[in-house]
Amino acid sequence: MTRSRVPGLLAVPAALAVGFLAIPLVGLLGRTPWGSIGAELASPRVLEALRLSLICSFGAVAVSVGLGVPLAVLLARVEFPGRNLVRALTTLPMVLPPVVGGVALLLAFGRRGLVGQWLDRAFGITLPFTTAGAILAEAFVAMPFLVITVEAGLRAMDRRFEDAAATLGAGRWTTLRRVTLPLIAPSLGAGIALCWARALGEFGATITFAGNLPGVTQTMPLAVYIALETDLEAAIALSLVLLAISLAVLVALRDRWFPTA
Amino acid sequence: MSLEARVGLALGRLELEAELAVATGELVVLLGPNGAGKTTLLRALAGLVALERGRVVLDGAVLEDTGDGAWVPTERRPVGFVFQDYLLFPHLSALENVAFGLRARGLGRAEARRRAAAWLDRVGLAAHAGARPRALSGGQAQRVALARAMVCEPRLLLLDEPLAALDAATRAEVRRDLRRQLASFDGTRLLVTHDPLEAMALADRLVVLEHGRVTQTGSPAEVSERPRSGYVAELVGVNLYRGRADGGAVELAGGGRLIVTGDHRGAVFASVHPRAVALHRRVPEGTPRNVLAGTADSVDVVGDRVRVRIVGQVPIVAEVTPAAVGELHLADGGPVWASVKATEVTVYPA
Repeated sequence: MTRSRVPGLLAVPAALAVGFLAIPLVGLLGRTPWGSIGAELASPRVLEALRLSLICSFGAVAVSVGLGVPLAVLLARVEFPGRNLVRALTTLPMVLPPVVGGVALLLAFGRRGLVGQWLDRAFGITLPFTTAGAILAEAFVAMPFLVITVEAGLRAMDRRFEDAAATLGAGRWTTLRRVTLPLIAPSLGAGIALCWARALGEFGATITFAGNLPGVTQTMPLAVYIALETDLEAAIALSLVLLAISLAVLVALRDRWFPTA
Repeated sequence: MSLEARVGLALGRLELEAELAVATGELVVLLGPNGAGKTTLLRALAGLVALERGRVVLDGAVLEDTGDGAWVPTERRPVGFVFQDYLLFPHLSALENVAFGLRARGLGRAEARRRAAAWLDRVGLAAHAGARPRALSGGQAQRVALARAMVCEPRLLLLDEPLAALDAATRAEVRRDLRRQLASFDGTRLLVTHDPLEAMALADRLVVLEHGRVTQTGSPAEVSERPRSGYVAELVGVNLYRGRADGGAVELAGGGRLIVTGDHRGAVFASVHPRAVALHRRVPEGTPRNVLAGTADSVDVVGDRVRVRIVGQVPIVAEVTPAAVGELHLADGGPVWASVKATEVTVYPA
């Protein structure tokens, strides 16, 4: 073993940090009613929240992939004026308090909002307090994770593979489909996993923009929050499901985030 | 001439200004030091780098002309490219790599796979059709890359350092293989290398590129007999001087003069093979010959000969026997005299 060059004094706050981050999880597991958890998870409101969460989070991923991957390709491959500004704007939701995002969505897509009033008049579409609204709120918060991960993958990729495809007669579309996207598949997968995990846990923007209607917009994080006041065991069971999903994402991405030397 | 190109462009510190003509069926090797612009020239011919000035014409069809803005994009040029590190698509099998170009050009899946399989068989890799590139050895990857480029029947085949990524042991075998495959290709072939052995072994004609300029072109024999730059002289291992000839003598640009045979006038190159240089510890006497005074600087063993570098007014490299090195104590340095017969100096116009 090599002698480390780290002062021993750091061990104390470091241990505190581990404890601080881990003890809440232990608390959660300690209070879990393991005997009745099966019944809790099978209860209609939990199943309803779970179903809705899956619909909304996968919907948000679909929106994010459909719009975010083209955006990432443009940001990574095309030099256009204001590119850095566009990149900053599109990653803003990552640092914006989600509740602010919810307010902004309401002002834009609300019934009297900038885009909302036009949607309402032209198509009779209302987004707030609908499942589509919840999907929109989740996508707003989660898409940037996909965009920056995919853009980073595109930038790290050896672009000469695209040159090779061109010398073999492949146009831009064929090259994108058959070379570029397959080569950045790991980044795309990581981006989707991150985006999905973020969408699944989304709370602030959803409750602000889409409300908290059971069966319509009440996703799992919202259900946890409500259950906490009325039915602690249900809240714990729901939390456990979310924790398990987070762990699964972490395990799936471990090679990417914690490469073993 | 089937490929005629005039390429002018600047890329970073490189200023490329080269003219190139390759006949159908001819194998031209582009030889030059690292950073001379060889790869950039190939990329420009393939349309991967745009020209700033110049034109590229292949079999009479204009691929690019900055004069009238004509431009055929890479994917529509009848050009095959073998990249230095092959760039086989890592997510596709060897067979799918070879079939890629056929599929991209609109051929059906079954027919593309059939033709790709035939090509893999031709390069001796039928058994590896299903292998991913990372499971292939360097020599196998090189052959897949060659098959991938040739299966589309390009009119111009560009090869960028096709053997550089291989270790010395496999290189000889793959070179022999490559030579055979290239011989079977009836289009125009242009190969880039910085390895003189590879260049001499493969080329019908050499084009030497230095600092983005063509400094010499000719058959391997012509180039090695009459080098026209210090780089080429170094490669083929001869002493090269520039100077002005005035009948039987050449006044060297760096000072000093050489007595030569024949009658030459004006700017010339004078070359001396190291084996034609004799070394002495005292001023030699006798027949009219060139005697150059200097100091033994470095001694290198090359095969069964020893190359002795002499520094002085006229620097020269001599190739002598190990016995001579011992007798003359050349490894100790000190003053030496190098003698060269006038008949051993080759003079040709600069």
